[in-house]
Amino acid sequence: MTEALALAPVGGLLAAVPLLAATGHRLVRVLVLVVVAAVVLGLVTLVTVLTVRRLRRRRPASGAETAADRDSEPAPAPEPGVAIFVQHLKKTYRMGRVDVRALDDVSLEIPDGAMVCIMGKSGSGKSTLLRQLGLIDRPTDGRVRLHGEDVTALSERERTELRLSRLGYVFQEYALLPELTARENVYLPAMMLGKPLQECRRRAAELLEIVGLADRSAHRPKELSGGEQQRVAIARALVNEPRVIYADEPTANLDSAAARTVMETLQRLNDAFHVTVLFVSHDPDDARYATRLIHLKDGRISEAPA
Amino acid sequence: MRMVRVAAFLAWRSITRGNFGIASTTTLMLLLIYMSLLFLPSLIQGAVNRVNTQLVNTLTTDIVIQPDTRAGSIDNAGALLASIRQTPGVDQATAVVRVGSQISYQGNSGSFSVEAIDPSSFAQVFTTASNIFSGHYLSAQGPGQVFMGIGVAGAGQTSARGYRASLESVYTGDQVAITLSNGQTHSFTVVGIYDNQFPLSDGNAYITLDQADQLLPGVADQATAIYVRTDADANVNQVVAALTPLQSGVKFETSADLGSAVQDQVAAFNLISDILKIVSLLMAAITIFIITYVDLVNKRRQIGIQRAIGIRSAPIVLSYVLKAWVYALVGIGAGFLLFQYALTPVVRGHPFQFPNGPVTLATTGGEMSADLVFLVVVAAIAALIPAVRSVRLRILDAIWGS
Repeated sequence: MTEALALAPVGGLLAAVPLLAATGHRLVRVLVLVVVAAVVLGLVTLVTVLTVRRLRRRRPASGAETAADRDSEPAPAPEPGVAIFVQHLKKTYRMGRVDVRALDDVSLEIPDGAMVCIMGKSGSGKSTLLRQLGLIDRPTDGRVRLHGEDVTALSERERTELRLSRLGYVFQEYALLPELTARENVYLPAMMLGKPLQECRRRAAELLEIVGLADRSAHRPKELSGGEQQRVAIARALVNEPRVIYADEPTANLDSAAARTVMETLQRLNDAFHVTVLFVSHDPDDARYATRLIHLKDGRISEAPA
Repeated sequence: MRMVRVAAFLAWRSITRGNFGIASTTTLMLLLIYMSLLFLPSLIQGAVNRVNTQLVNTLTTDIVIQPDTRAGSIDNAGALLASIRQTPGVDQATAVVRVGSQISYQGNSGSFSVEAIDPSSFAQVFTTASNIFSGHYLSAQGPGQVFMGIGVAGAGQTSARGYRASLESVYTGDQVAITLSNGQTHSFTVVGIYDNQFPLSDGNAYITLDQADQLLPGVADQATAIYVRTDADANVNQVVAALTPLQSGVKFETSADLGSAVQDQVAAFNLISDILKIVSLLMAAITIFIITYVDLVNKRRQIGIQRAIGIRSAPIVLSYVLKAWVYALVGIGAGFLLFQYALTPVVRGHPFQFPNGPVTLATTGGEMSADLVFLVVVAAIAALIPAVRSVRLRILDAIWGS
């Protein structure tokens, strides 16, 4: 996709060159040669890169078990009403020359409308798990289904589209865009979805009202407290009416009062909109809001009822 | 369309709410680069225009009619002149007869072109009569008058170009000896010295046609050249076509044909100008690249977050290209205004003093538009490269800043 992006302005440039060439400008003649050479070089590079990628996809490394291999295995059909279905999920990071296994054969099912807390010590793999489910990272192995659809082998573009339209993600550190107001931060994903601006604004106003920040909509992130920023991030995660919200330690940087407000907001949304909420926390207080607890230890799952 | 909308939204918010210092510095840099793109070509064009103007006003006018053999002359010049003056598109015409080539003064002598002219029509075709250095122009009846260029007289102007080739110390009122084409030498009084600030025409001396006719009987109806000034709105080639049937055995040349000698110099100047232009464009590219790159490094986490919440790479990249375009266009706009309404009038008031005289800045809309397009394209490419590189990062790497 980025290759295509790189070619787009070159196309524009090529369109502009004949116009200038018609003026007979000397510099244009030199530039035409440079541009033609650059375009030819770019096309050759693009074709080479795409061919190499295609070949790599066709011939995986011997002995390596990939997600695609698993696709050929008969997959157990998820039960109706299951929002997230995870099977044999593995994630290995390479740290220098050492492979660190962050997730080790994780399998789980999250029902639609659940509010699930993933707990575990630091380094247990809980944030890693959330990133795989939130399509922000790719697992090394295993399969993830969202509402019955296998999302493991989707292209980056398809994953982006899914993140935009069906998932909401709340980061630990607020993650708002500093040059946008609270309202603009909220409606940016809706704009990306192609909704009319008026509708985007109306929806953002509604959501800010829901998270109790109607009077702060014109403020920029630096003018908001940590708790307020996190609630704006929750509103943003909701703007495209996702079916699942992932929250990665949403209360980690907040004082207890702000943390309570954020968790209550998430719980209220879960109740009101039947949105599946999956949040990571190491605070036992947060676990009280969950309908189900998942414990992770050394990348492996150990489940306990809430 | 939604890509463009989101890109424009992100770019505009970043420009209006981002770092004002960076935005204004970038714009200022592009303003200076655009002005530097315009300045040298304009100066060269101004110098070329100056040479062309002097060529036309003091040496060739618009059309030159000469015998098609080097040694010949045009007969029945009077009748031909009358016909030429009645031709549509002709403003004025004058005939010139070369009558001598040697001028002496107090032991100094040199080869100079001495031409007999009709003072009245000559003054309407050429501006030489008004470029007086000292004395006055030829009067129609005065006997023994000569009007000479500073390149002939010298007039003590030691710093003037061609002084060493001149007679060095001839002043208005001095008597000089001119050897005419019949070999006889006659004494003439210098009534005036002109300075066209153009060496090619400053090396001539003029006497009246009446005077020449007395000394060289029959010369009055001959011409070694006829100079034709066309109407301001006339098409020179059409006028040449209309004049051609009037006389056989002559050749017609336009000022463009005769000015080809300076074209080589112009081409050399243009080459230098083009090289400097490429350097300026390179500077623009590097400026935009560095600013975009630094901006992207600072916003790497933001870009990661944008991608994580579902914003595709295309609008993110496009937003940086749009930002670069805005900076470039604002810089170009401000540069254009400054160039057109500040620098050009100032230079017009205080022109550069070139050897050929005062030179002002001259540019064309085409040149300005071409520079605008170059700069906008360069800005886009320079912003695109770092932007594309940064969206190729993994989302987590971008968010973590690794």
